[in-house]
Amino acid sequence: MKRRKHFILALLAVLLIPAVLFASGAGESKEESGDIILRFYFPIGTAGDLTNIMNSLCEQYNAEHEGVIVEPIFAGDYVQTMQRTLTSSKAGNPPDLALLTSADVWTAVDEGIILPLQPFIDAEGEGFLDRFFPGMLEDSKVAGEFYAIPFQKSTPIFYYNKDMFREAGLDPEVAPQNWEELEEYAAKLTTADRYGLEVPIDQWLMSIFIMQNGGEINNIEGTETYLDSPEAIEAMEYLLSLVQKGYMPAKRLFGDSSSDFVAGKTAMMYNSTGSLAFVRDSASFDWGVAFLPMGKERIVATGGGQFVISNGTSPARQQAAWDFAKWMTEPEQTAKWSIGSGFIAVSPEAFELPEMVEYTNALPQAIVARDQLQYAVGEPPKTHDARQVSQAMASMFESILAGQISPADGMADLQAQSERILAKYHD
Amino acid sequence: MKATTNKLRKYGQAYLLLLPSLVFLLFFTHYPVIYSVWTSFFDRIRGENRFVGVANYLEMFTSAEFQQAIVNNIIYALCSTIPAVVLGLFLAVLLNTKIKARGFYRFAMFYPTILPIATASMVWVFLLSQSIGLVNHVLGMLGLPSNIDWVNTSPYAIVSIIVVYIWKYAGYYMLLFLSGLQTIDDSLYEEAYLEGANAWERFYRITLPLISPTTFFVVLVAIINSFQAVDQIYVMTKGGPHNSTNVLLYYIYEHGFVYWDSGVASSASTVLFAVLLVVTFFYYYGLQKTVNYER
Repeated sequence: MKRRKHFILALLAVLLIPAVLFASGAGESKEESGDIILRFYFPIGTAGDLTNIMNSLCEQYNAEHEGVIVEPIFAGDYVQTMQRTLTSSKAGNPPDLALLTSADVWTAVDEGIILPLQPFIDAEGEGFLDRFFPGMLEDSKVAGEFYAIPFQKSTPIFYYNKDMFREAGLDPEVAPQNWEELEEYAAKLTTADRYGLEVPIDQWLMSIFIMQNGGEINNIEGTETYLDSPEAIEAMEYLLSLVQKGYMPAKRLFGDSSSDFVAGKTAMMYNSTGSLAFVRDSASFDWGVAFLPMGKERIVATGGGQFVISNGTSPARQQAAWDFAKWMTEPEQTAKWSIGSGFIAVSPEAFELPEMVEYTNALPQAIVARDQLQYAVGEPPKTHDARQVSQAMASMFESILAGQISPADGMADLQAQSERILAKYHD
Repeated sequence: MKATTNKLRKYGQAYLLLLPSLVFLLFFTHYPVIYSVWTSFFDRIRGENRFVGVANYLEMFTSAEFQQAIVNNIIYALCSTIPAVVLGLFLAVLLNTKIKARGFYRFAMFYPTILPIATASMVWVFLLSQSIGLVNHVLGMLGLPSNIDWVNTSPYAIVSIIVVYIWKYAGYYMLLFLSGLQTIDDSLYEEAYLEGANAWERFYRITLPLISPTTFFVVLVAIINSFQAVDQIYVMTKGGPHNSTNVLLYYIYEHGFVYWDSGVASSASTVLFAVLLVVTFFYYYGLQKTVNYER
């Protein structure tokens, strides 16, 4: 009998352990000596020792600023960062800051977990936003209001193999300027064992073609899309013709294209500035970059991550989070992040700094990306439920380029899908 | 009253021992199932849940994406389960004979099972790459079509997914079958041999009936596995190209944790739950009679 009692006590003790752990873990994180500890979720889309650079930036901030300790927490890719941010916010334990991609900023606003930033921007006084490239600011707005500030930004640029240009009798210093030339060059550069051109399929690049052709993707409120416009259909017809003529594969992703490019399997490609370092390190030939060839208009979209601030914390923490985000976007820090990561520095002034000049001298292609920013708009689509709309777009673009549905029917179907997704935002 | 006390005394310890797993089952299995059925009647809009009745189910069943996910899942389940189980059985019978280096072959066949599926899928993405992949390279050396973009074009993408599933699980099923085969008494085979039964007859008349409990179990596991495929698809194709490798669980993941559309994700979970329940039920009660349990 006594033995059994012991046994039951032991069992109860085992059962209690998780309860005790829960109780102690649920308390506020200990803030010794009254310092504010800011939890900051950041994603990394590309490989490299970016975590170390992020950590060293935060350490520098902590050393230079009394009373605040920023704790950078690597949260996976953009999707996973959003998953962690949203779930922990809903569980009442939000991060103070996070870096989210444009589509997820919309969702964060719809879910009511982040702060509008206009009051902070106003408090900084006039001209605060001048530190950013104007083209990068659009991704920080939801239906016209600021909810974020840009930090790690990228944009597509045009990569080409200069050796193959020479071989095909083309001037290696001049990239195709418009769609007609693009097709002409692709025809000359396509051979039996390589493509002339690769354009990774996703809503980002395909939307650029639509906008270059004079089309629009969505309204500013983010409740409507215009994907069945004649301009949009025509843009898809153009891309489809490149596939049908054999100049371009029907489907590539960003990673596939850059490995094809360095392997000499394609002579030209559209790809992100995020691939600059990879191509620099892997290409065994002479290569160059240029602005994207223009359609009726010269337009490029930006992408990447921006800072958002949680609304589930105290005003003092929100202010501390803003101060940190502001510091990170100053020329010195954005330059350091750009040099280490390959993202474009968000501040024009950063390009004047000596370390940045040294960097761009070694990688002059980064200057092309900067100069192209004067034609930049935000990452499309800018709508509610943007990830779902994006996925519908990417999937339909794949079907069209695979020849499974005509551009006119496909874009009409796509528009119907996006209307269904957005219907609930119409009231 | 007395009887209850007696019972409690008699079984109390057993219940107490079961309590932890019961608590976990309740909180982490039964409660979420019920909650997700409940959630499936709400639509999430601007961060608020709004009651919409069965609208989520209607929206889902009428969407081409969901219909295709169902069709894909059925194709995937049939085309991956049957070959993987047959191959597993074949390998098991082969490696149950006394051949040289048997242990090595068994290990080699079982090896894919040890690898995490995400890692294995990533390796296969490279093997199947159109320009630098080993698969196309080998096909080229054999003089076969070798410019196939395996994971990016239909129908090759779903073929790739199925091949990787078979590669990954056939060895595991082999191991399960092997354990079944070891329980068969050798004397049965010797007797049949003396009676003049050939290899096929021995397999068909002795092996197959006697391992039927194992087969029963393996097939059930294989079916459930094929409905739970998500990591492999996440790594290899993300449901693409144009939805051709989207299956139920990936559909749920995408709607739940990328689009944050908890209503539709819960509806799809409920459907998946119902499908698996029905499959398990019919399989269990329908086939139990034909299974030969030797007791």
